[in-house]
Amino acid sequence: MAPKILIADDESLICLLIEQTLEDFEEQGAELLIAENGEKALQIARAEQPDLVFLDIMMPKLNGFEVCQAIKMDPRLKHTFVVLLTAKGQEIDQQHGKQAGADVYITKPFDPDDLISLAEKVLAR
Amino acid sequence: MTPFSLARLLKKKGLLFSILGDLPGLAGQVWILAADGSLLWGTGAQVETKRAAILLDGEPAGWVCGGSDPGLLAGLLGYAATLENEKKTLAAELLDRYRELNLLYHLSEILSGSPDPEAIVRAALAETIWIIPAEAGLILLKSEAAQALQDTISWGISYRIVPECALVTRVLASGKAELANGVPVEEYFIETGGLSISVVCAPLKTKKNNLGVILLVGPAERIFSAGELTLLNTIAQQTAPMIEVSRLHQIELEKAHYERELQMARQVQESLLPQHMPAISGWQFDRRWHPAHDVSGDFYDVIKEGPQRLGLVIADITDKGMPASLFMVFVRSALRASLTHSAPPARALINANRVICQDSFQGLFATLFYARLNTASGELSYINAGHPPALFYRRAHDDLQLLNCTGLPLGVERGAVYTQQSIQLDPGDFLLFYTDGIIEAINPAQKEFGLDRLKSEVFSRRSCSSASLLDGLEQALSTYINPLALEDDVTLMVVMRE
Repeated sequence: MAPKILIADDESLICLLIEQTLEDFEEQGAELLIAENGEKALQIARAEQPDLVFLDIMMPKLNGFEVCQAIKMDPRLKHTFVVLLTAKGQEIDQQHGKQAGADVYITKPFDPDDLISLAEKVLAR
Repeated sequence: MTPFSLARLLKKKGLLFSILGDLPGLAGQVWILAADGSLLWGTGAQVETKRAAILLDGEPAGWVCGGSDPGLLAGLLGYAATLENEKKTLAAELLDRYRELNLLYHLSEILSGSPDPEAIVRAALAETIWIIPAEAGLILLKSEAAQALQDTISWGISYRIVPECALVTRVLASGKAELANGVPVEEYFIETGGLSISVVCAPLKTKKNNLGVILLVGPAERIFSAGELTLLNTIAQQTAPMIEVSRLHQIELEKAHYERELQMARQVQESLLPQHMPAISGWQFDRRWHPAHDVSGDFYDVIKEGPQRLGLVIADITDKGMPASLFMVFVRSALRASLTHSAPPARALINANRVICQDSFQGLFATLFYARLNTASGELSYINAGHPPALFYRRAHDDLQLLNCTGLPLGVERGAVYTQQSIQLDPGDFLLFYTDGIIEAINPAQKEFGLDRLKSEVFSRRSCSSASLLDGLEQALSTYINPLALEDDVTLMVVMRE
């Protein structure tokens, strides 16, 4: 089955940026799913059961921590790899992210190559 | 950016539904084919029927077959393809800019981590070549002293740039980046193989200064793009202020180090001056020492030459700063060695002068007033070696007498002869020694304090104690030059008989 990657960010340019960063995966058959808020992200996650989720923390309706927690508590999504994205230097966020069950925490500005190598590792599992 | 793919577009969630969902019953009647004719969407056996091209930039990106009006669906898909392609183009551009931003961010983190100018230049060059691949890179910087490009940091193949390279000269003068692809190598570098090269060059400039240039070099087939030129310029703009700041930081460090050394030198110099003036019944001795800079060419000394016999010295080296202060230590030593002998003052000074002349350097010499005081009788013998006249106040006459020169400054003429004079200090009399710093001090109108003003200030305080006399002179001088600072060292010494 083709792998699925969910990108959730209320900033459409960031979604576009990550989408473009991961275009080679799409070219190889992966499906990229986009959500513009936390509620939509959780809805798509439950419906599509993505392998990898990039979640911005500051999103309307449900924030990234809440979405992450809900994903990790859903038995059908327990193998979904969750990456939290936020602005650099917010140490307290990192602590919060761990508590929410995030697998990886990436700070913005992120290095596109870091995202690619992370996606390669996760999808290769 | 990967090329447009109709197959990928059709896989987009919801796209086909939104286009085809309002057209029920199309499955089995309509087929969507790739540009090469392979089936992308549709079920059942494809019926040979009319087809319409899905156009992207005027070229068929695929085909719609079947249905009553395949052109309508092809048009809708063509529109979606155009939007998707524009979005991908913008996304690719966005990602490129983002990568550049990220690299610049990374570069600034690296550069700001080092206060050393050379380390910054090396790191900047290494990072630049990583960002903009090139065979070699050079950073040419103007040296601090000369305005010519001198400091060269290179990476990769070692190229030596030709003197007065036209491209570099132009970039440096205009402050604008330039590129030249496939140009003759000999116009840029000496002693290199190959016929032609490509170069891109950007100025390292700050708001105030053109610090130099950064230059990337590749073989002729390495075509530098306008985008790379812009990127190199951006890197240069980011790097230049850091080089400048690190240079200033370096200068500040050196300055702080120099100031610490000067402070130590001053402490050493102060330690050579008498810490206390003699306390002898019936006499008052006092002094003030004000170096104009951290170290001084002025000095005074009090030498106990025997029972009831004091040697008093005030001297001024004919220079300022460190050379004068070093010479002062030398003169003081020569004097001390000579004056402690039992020889008469004139003989002692002749000896001291010979020693000083022998080892004097850079034309330095010292003016000096030396007095030998008999504290029991009040008799004072003196020699004025080219020094400003001491002021002698005699209460009996209520006047000030000048004790003028009796010989050349020390260090001028090896064979100089000094003659001594004598005066008698009676109760109420005093003698003021000073260096020229006070009489040559200038006020904002560029007028000197002068000997007459000094005499007048001294005379008006003739009934004061030695300390009050000096305090008053300091105050008068300070008021006179205000708001200027002293340009020359000022030393005052007073001997007063009660």
